[in-house]
Amino acid sequence: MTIQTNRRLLRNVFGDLKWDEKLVNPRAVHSYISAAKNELKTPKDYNEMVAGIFMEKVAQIYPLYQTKLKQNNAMDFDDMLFNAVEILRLNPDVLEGYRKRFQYISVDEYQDINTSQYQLISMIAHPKNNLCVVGDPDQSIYGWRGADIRNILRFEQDFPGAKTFKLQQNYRSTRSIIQAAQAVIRNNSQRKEKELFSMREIGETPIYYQAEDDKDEAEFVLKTIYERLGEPGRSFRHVAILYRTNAQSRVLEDACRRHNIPYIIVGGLKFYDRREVKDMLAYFHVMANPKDSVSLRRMINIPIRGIGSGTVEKLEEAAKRLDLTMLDAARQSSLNGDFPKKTTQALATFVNMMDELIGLKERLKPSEFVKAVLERSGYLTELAADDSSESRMRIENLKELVNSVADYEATAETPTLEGYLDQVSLVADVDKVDDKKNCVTLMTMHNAKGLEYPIVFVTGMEEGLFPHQNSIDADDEVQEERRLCYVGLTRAMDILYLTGAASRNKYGTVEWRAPSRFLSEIPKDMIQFTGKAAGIVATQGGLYEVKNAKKKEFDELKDPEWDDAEPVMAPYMLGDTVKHAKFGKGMVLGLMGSGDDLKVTVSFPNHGKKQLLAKMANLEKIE
Amino acid sequence: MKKTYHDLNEEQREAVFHNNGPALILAGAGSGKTRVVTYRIMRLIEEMKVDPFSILAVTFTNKAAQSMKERVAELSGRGKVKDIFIGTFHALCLQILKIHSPKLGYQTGFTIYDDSDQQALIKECLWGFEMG
Repeated sequence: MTIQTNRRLLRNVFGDLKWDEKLVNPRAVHSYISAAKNELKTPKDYNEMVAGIFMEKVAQIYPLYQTKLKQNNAMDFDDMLFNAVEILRLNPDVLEGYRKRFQYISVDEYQDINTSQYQLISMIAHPKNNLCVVGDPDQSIYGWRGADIRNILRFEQDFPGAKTFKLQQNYRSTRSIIQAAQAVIRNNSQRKEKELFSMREIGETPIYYQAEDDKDEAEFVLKTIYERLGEPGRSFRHVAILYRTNAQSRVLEDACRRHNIPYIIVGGLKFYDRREVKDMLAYFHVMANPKDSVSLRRMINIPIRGIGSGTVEKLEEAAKRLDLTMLDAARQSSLNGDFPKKTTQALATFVNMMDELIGLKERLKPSEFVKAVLERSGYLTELAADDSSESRMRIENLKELVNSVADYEATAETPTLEGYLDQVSLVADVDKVDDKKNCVTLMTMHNAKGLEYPIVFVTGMEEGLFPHQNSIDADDEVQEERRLCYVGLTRAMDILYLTGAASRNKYGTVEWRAPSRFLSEIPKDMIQFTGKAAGIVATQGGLYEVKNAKKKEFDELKDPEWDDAEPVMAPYMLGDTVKHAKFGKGMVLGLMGSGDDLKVTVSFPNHGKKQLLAKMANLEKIE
Repeated sequence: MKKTYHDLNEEQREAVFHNNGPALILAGAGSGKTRVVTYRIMRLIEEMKVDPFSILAVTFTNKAAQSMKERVAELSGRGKVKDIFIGTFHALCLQILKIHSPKLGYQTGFTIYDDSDQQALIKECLWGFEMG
């Protein structure tokens, strides 16, 4: 996310709301700090560019967060880049060393690099600039995470004398798939001239199916998979179902289970994010870095050993006061008898266990050590005592953790626990795509980047979902959504299906959906409409009006075809101007539910975005 | 070794034969960019006699790094691949930090906080504010 996006997000999220501590979302704060670090802004720099109340808050938290990280002898992901750049900047001799070493540099996925990555690479490449970057501006999809497409667009300016090469022949997809994808991406302005072509056969025309709702959409996908699998040479592993947001996966998953189709989900709950695995990793982190108080707090009373949160707080204060690690503070407290007898006893037992384990760490292979921690900590015993299926699953996962350490051991030159933890820190979602299992793959389009499947379903082709609601107001963000669409379509080798639902359940209410604008960008003869969409095209070519009617995305609600599906018409339309007794005039941005449950989202110029129950709000429609 | 270039198309071949100075390869989806990058690395080693140790190839994911290693190994042999630095930005940074982070006041064996650790620490900061 660039700082520019931040400001916009800020307006969207907070509007003119009064600041309230309880509203502070740690995730939002962190993403702001992350964006600052990606742009190499120190807390001091950040302070100078503050605009608005949320950024003010972030500017206060950022330095504190950095101090705490340092106290824990820890870095977050963004610090790794920030600090590496800092080291090279402050130590010319170190930089010179890397310049001498790396004479030839290549960087892949250059369209997705951020400012700190650009800085790192250009510093090391200088002055010879034997720098070969590979990328595709049309596939830049990580703007929200700090990637800056401008890096690739201005490469020739940044590195004078640069030669440009184009690889335009696609070896993956049929001609009709490439044509459709090209038709969509051509609507972007942030591009480098490039015309992808395929020498494969023309192949099947991509199909768009418009479903009644999300369940119907899932049914269509699964039924189609069944039909397709009847063809010779096809199996489950040839199929990928892609979506824009993780939340869409549940309905599709349910359908897979109903139809007995084996599937895997990429990017669901990651293995290393599972509770039991994280608990164990916390043990290892404390062993590797005794200053890591975040990890220590996580594991000190797991399994329960009578060290409550009050005690932990006191230990923390003591650690701060005496400049000790929390473990040492615990040791001292247990010796001094600072706590009631029972607590002192508990602390002493804990410290003994930790000392013993730290001793073992030096003597055992990492995998042996991990087993020792599992047993000595009492973690496994506690799980085993509770004979539920959940506990059994957790035990399985812990065994898998031991396996993963053993795998690491088998490949590392000098395996250490620290080395293993480093490796875990570097694992990304997409690294775990397992193409050996014979399963249908479900994943977001982001995760699908770089992958290919003979049969691809791109689901949720709806305004507000794809392009996503959060991006719809800003042209550069719609362009990023369009690139994501291009990425989705070009995953398909032979057969491409696009699907969308006319209505979708969200938080228990029904939301009406217009087909995605990206569909309307594909010429009619390059895509075949089925489902409800077939009707729309036959009646008045309604779908093609979407493009010219951005002001009213939901024009289709007026279409008689839709009346059949939902006889109760909403009293308001998107884009309507309405008046509220207290908030004044505003514009309707969203509708959810129907009848008495109809909720209307309205943006009021002086009061920000509000969601109102239509029945109660008494909104007056203004023509 | 040279005859392997026959399975490249004209555009790919031009990119592979780029020698020195900055180059931008605009690679469309499915256009064989990994092949181009690996062939170019092979050519640097085999024909331009570049020391593998002085080659840095940054990838976006570990998986991409792994498959690039395998493909270079097929072309140039395992022995040479081992010396090339093929890895993600974070892997490259980690290597720099392992050696030099004490210069910024860190101790060896620092921890890298993942998403949930980061959230926990931010929450801690927020509490600090609430308590004044």
